[in-house]
Amino acid sequence: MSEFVTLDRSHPDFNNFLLGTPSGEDRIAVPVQSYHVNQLSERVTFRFVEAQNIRRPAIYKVITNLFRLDLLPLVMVPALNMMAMAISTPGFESKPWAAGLIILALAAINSAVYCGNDFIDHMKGVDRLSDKSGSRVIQNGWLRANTVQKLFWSMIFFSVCFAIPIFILNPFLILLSALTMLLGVLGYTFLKWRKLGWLLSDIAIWSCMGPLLVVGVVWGLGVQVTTGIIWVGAFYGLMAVTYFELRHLVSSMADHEAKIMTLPVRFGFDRAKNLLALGMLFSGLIFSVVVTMTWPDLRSLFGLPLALRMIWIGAQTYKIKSPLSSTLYVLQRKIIRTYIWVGLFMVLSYVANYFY
Amino acid sequence: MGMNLKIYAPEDFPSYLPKLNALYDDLFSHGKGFRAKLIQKISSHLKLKENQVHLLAQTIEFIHNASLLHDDLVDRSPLRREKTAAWLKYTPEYAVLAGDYLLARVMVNLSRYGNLQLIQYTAEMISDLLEGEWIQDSLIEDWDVSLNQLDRVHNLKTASLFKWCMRAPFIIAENYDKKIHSLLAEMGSLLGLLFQRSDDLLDFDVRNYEGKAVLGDLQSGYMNSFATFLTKDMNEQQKFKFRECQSLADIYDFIGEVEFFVRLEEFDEHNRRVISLFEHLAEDLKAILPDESKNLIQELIVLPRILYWRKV
Repeated sequence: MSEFVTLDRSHPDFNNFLLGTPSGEDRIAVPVQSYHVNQLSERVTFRFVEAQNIRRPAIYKVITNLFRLDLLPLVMVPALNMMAMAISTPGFESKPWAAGLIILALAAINSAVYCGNDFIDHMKGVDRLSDKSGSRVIQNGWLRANTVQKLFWSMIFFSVCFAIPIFILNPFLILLSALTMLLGVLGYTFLKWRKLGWLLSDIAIWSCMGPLLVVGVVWGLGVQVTTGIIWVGAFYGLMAVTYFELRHLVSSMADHEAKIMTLPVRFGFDRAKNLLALGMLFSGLIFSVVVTMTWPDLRSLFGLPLALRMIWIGAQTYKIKSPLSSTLYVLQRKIIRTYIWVGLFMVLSYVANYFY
Repeated sequence: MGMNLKIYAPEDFPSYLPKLNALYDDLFSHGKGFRAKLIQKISSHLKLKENQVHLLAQTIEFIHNASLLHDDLVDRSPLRREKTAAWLKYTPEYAVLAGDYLLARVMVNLSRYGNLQLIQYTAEMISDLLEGEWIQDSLIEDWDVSLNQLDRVHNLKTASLFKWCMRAPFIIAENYDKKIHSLLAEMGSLLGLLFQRSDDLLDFDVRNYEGKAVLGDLQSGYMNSFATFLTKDMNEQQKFKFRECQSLADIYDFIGEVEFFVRLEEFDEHNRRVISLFEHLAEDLKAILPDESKNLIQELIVLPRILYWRKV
């Protein structure tokens, strides 16, 4: 029996092969070559591998990769920031169970988003064009695509279950969550729009991972929304947009081939890169404003190194020479680490506020 | 591999342009003409006329050599085929113009022939070739580039020529079957990949039967596919030490000679899978080729092994 099979999109079994459930086969079909991705003339060559021959790592590593736990800071840091702020607010009625459920709900929805993204990008072919795109869990044969799809729905279910007690406490959160989910889905769909798709997608990301996220957390804890909170949300949203657009720089060749209208595809590599550099510069400035507003004294100077780090990342982004440059991956990791350092700084500052 | 085909004759170019014919004499006299021979092989099974075979062979060799003229200047390489590179022997300006002139002659010849599909496809191929060159140039001194990223560059730069060699004979024979062309393009991609990876191994004196100079890529600041494969699990400090190596002995000392050959075997195994993939696609192609052309598969099936292992 042949090790390979090539199918085009019109083949009745094409989708089954992509899902990892080829008819009449016990072996796993791993896609090895894809041509004319995301077009009607798409052709994919699959290599059959016996399940026991797949070199699968430990399950925790598969889950860590699939759920993109390395990107959890993008959601958790703003949430923990708001929790620390809430605790330090005079008269705040502490509800640890609410905080715990919010964290679990956010972790579940974060996992669901990346599972869903992996599944969709695999079926469309975007993740098959580059070995740096997605979690690689499906492409490496560690899990079948239909398993990832099932995990997506499971995580959605868990996030709803964790969120229900919070919704009962504050029913307005249902509307906010629905709006955030809708924007999240639209953010993906907008990328197909030729002209302003990239902008609408970025606004969606900024909203979902910025103001809407922080407002949702504070409402869930029963705290009033202030201007300062909105500024914090704006800052985190801008950092998130910059991070995701940096990823779009990495995937710009594949996106161009798959006709996904991201910022780099729409405006070109150089302009997109310069805009991102500006984005990081503004992140540093907004962070300085946030810190100064929160601690209008010498303590705000402690935030200066972090602001300078963001500006430095912007400068490194400006110097990038190629969409294939390895520096792009280094900068992605640096942005995530900056998130963590910012979160740590903000939490410690609020704790210090509470005690002093 | 095939009959002797004279790609270049002095009559093809005006004699009044000073040094042009001397430059082309130097350029064409030592090339192996592999791509032209591939054209001949494929064409023989499609019953193309002699003038058609000559047109295709000349086109691909002109484009390939134009890219070499420009490449050597961009990279500041002093030698080409063990002779002084054109930009150094003549002038950089003449090297650029000589490359441009070859591409212009290609357009003249193809437009005179009149097959619009062929003209369009050739223009796309040249565009891909230049795109690959451009992106490759942006990766100089990038020591963390991955194999997959390099493959994307090579698919544009090297593989585009092989894809053209596979498809152009069918186009000139006016066979525009989409499935056939899709398969030929995929097979051409794999041939280009194997050719490039084999070439990259020469830089580490692997199967270096022609005795080419080693470590040229590394010393130019470029991590080729095998270097990338060797260093993929190394940290920054280890990669720094790797790129400081001045000789193969330094590399063996650093990595360990046994480990080097273990990694080479892994790389070879990786490429054996690519060869198997090519053979699979060849079988698919055989199923859809017209009966009178099916013998082409026997010629094609041996190519990846010849290109990668560098032995007939």
